[in-house]
Amino acid sequence: MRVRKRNIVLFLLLLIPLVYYVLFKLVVVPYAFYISLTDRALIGPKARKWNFVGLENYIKVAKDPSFHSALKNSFIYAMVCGVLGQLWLGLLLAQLIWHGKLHGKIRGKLVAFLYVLAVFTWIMPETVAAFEVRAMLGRREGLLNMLMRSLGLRPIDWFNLANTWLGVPIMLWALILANIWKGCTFSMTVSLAAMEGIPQELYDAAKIDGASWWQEFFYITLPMLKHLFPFMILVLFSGSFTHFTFLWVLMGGGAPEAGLWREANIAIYAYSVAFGYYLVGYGTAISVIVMLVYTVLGILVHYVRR
Amino acid sequence: MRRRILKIANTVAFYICCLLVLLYFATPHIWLITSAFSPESKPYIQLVRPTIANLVAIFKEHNFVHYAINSAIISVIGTLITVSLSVIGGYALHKLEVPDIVILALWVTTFVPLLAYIIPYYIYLSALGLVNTYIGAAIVLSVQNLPYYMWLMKNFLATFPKELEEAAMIDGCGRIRILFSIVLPLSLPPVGLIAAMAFNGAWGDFLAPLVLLSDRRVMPLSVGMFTETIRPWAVYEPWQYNLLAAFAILYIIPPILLFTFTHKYLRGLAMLGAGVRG
Repeated sequence: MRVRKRNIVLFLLLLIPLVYYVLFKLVVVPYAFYISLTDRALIGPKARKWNFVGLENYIKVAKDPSFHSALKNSFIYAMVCGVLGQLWLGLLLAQLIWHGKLHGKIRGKLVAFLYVLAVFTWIMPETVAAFEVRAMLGRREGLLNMLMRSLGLRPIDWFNLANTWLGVPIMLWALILANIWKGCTFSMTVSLAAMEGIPQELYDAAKIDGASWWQEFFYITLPMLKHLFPFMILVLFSGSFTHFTFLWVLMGGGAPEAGLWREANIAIYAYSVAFGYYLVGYGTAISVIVMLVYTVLGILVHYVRR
Repeated sequence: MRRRILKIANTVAFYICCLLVLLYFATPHIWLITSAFSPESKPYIQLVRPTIANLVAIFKEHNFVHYAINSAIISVIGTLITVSLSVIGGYALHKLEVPDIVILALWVTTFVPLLAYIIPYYIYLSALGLVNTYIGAAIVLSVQNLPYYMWLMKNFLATFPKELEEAAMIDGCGRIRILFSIVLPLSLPPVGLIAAMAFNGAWGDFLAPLVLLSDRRVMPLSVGMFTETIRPWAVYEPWQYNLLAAFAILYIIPPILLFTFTHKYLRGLAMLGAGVRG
């Protein structure tokens, strides 16, 4: 009897957070499905009395060219940022730091500073980071354009969507460069933690042989960390796929109409449809699609993590 | 001889790489700091005539204290909810045999970002009357990653010696008593870490306040610093960089402080899958 009573207490302890979680988060999932089947609006007559329209919103999404290009840009952004940029820059940084730590006091100090700087960039609020990048990209007087001018190159108007490179507005490449800066520390910390598990004899032997840090990288670190790649790629991909805050602030901040590129990203598109055009039903249909994508990604991460 | 040249080349390559990384990472931060003390709103680094006029202006004309208090209220309430629920939930998860499917469901739903459901969420919360209230924002910020923190707590408790609890149980302690007088005092480091992460997340969040706290009375710093300084009607350059930078350098002080106290644990955390929203 006593055992049973204890279990009830435990069960209640679990139930409190679960009820809270269901009540304020999970409940929204069926509600989102329901709203996505209506033509509800945020304001106006459709906000009070809306009609059930079936799958019409989803058909509209499938035919919407803006949605297609937003999805494409989201995909490019997440692939280039996560899989190409953040993953590899993070790995290289980890290798640089690891090498520096083992090779003398001055290098150790230097890489310790690099580590603090990278982690600081990572933990600082995305709004501030985006604001810094915004200044770097300034049209006439931004640091990046000043650098290009001093190298004898033509300055670029990053915010002009008519400028393209490889068929994609140059704005997207600028956003990618910025996000690699902000987010590569995740793979760096994961790699550094994993490198502590690599037998140190390997690095010691490499040091005696006089191997450079990039030789260590290709012949020791990379083969030993390969098993972490699926996990890191999935996490980095899903981190960038619906990047909202960073891009939103970078492109407009408090003045969203000034220079906001609605198709930059699927998240920004859904947001501007729902809160800019007040088409809640349509925006929610996009949200439901995003939710499905993240459910699949979440399941994959759950299994890859082991 | 060849070996010697190679060694020198390696050293040079190492320092050049370090320098490049340093420039890439530090330049924006250097700009932020110099800009906060600069008399003009310029997107390039200028060191002439440093002034504290920007800092004075954000306190006197732009209600910095008001926004900071709002931010603090929301973050503290959110952190309290997160910590208390993740402690009891993590303890229960540790003791009970929860079916795998529940764990999977919690993990996967945590993985779905706030952004994916913010639109129906806004309608739902406004029906509950929680829009433009502190408690509403605190709920939104605390509920998002709750299962993750519970799971973190559970993982810590798995390393806990069983004998302590068993001894207490023989002495006739109930579950709640064990939790509060034995488990909790011994798990202050992870609880502190959870608190730091929850606070940092709430303090830095932009999306939830943008949607839910559009009223200036309750608006926190993350949104307020932009509404105060950006002039949408100025067509060529609506950004007042130096004022915004002054806001920003004060705004990032709490995250920096939290980081200096908790960075020791960061690496272990990254291994556990933290920073999912990277």
